[in-house]
Amino acid sequence: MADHGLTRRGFIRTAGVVTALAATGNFPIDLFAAEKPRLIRYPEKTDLILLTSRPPQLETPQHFFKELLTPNDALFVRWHLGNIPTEVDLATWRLTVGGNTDKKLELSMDDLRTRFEKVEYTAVIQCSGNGRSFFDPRVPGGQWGNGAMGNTTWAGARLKDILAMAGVKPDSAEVAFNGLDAPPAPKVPDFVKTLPMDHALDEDTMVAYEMNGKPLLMLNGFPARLIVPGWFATYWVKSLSEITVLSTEFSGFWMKPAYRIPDNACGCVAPGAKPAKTVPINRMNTRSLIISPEAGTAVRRNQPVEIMGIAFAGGYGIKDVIVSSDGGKNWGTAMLGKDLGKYSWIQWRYPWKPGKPGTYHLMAKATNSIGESQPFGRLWNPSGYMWNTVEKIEVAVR
Amino acid sequence: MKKTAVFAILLAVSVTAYAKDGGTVRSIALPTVETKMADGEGKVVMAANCSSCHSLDYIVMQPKLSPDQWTGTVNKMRKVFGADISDADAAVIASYLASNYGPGSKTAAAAPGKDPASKVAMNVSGEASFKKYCAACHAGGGNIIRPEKSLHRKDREANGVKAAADIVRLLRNPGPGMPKFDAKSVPEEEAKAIAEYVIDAFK
Repeated sequence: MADHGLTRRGFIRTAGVVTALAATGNFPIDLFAAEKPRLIRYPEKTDLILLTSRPPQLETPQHFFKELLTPNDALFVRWHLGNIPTEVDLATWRLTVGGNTDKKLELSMDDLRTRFEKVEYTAVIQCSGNGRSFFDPRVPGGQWGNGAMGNTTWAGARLKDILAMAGVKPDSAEVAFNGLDAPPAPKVPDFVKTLPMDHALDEDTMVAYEMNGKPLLMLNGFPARLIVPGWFATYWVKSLSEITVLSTEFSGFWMKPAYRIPDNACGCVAPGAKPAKTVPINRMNTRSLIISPEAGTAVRRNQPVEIMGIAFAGGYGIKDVIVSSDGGKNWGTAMLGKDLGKYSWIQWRYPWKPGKPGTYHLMAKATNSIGESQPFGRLWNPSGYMWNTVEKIEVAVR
Repeated sequence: MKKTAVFAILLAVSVTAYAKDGGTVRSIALPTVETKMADGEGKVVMAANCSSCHSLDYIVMQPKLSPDQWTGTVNKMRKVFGADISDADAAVIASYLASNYGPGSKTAAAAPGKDPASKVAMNVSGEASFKKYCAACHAGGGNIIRPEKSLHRKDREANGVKAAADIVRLLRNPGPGMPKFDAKSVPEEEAKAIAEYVIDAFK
């Protein structure tokens, strides 16, 4: 989150049980929660910001975004259902592929690794609700700052190759994906997502079994997860166990009414308004974030400072990033870093030498290769999705 | 025969990569995190119903929702997510949430994330606001009217001004010789920021 400097945080670290709010002593609960996000260490992960514990929603602290690739143990965690998989035996785990297909497959991990060509690319993974806590008026839901995202090199098998082995029948409309997570009560809808047929057959849609060269972490979807690069991570079903080809449109809860956006170019409506028509959320919009210096910190006058950040767009690559150090009056073009492909984020740098002491507003605005950019104003939708307003952060010059 | 042997080794290698003990099982143990909830009527009913599906930090995390929004949230849990909550319990839960986590409630938690701009304005502008409102008389932490009442720690403490809240109180109800700064001219957040700046700057 851009708004929480690490030095201001009170850390509560845990090896097992933590009574987080009770540990605040004299502080009222609201002060604690607002000023000091709780850091927590889950198995296989480093200290992350705790949003919720069951199911876990853990956010990545901003300083990890200084790295081009997000370390596996720092990648955010987001599950929907109370019963998440905590144990997988690869001797018995199978990925079943069936439905409207010529035959039914039951693939083991070794089948996935040996019977299909291994493909690899770097892609941004971002929660639909990343930045939800910045919406005004506020909306209910996971109150993410900017840390429900990361940049990871994924490796696995092409979904289209797997589907080809099963033989998709010509009248097929969608493909449904289910994972090992299970509802906490009998009537709670299972987490199932679908992709339209053309996108399921996209060259780059992948069933991944590696992140940054290592097997997936349990909390990030071991042993295999769907990767839909360029699209929001709600489709990237974790601990994948079932792929079902459908001949009709699926209407389960997690596709409708959940995870939908207003059916217009901005995916937005007037604050407080109800959209007349919605569509399933899909491709990511363009974003840029200032990573360093962090908001609320101070730099020295007459000393060169490098403003550093990241930018990404839904599978079209970044054309340019412009930066302002005076609240948007004057803009310059940032230098772009190493290009890891159209699905990756790109680092940018902008040299700055503040002359006078005072308060400065830094801004950054990215444009992707098809001209999509970011709004200066606050766009709004009732679910708090697709936040990409141009950031304006304040730093002091002393 | 030789082919089979090679395949068996590959299998062993790829499987052991997953489990620490060299077997095929990978497992984790999730921590238990307790969230302290506000005391109030309906707390027990709320905890019993809500925590059967999710941890209670889901509630604490939310912005201050209106009574209608909380009722809507409880209804969503029942109708959309199929939570087995009776009508009577649903009313009790909605009332508990609205009273303790609604607008104006003291215990309601603000969300972990805030707009970067607004949050930072609070952090950084204590100094700017001090310059705007206070520095005419208190430049450098001094006091041009009553020098013995400077803003430095020693003087502050001698005059019973120990915490930020004490400074805010003096802004609202100053002693003789100092103009009054009410919440209209200096909102609460800004007053707090000034107070924190004073404590931080004049040691």
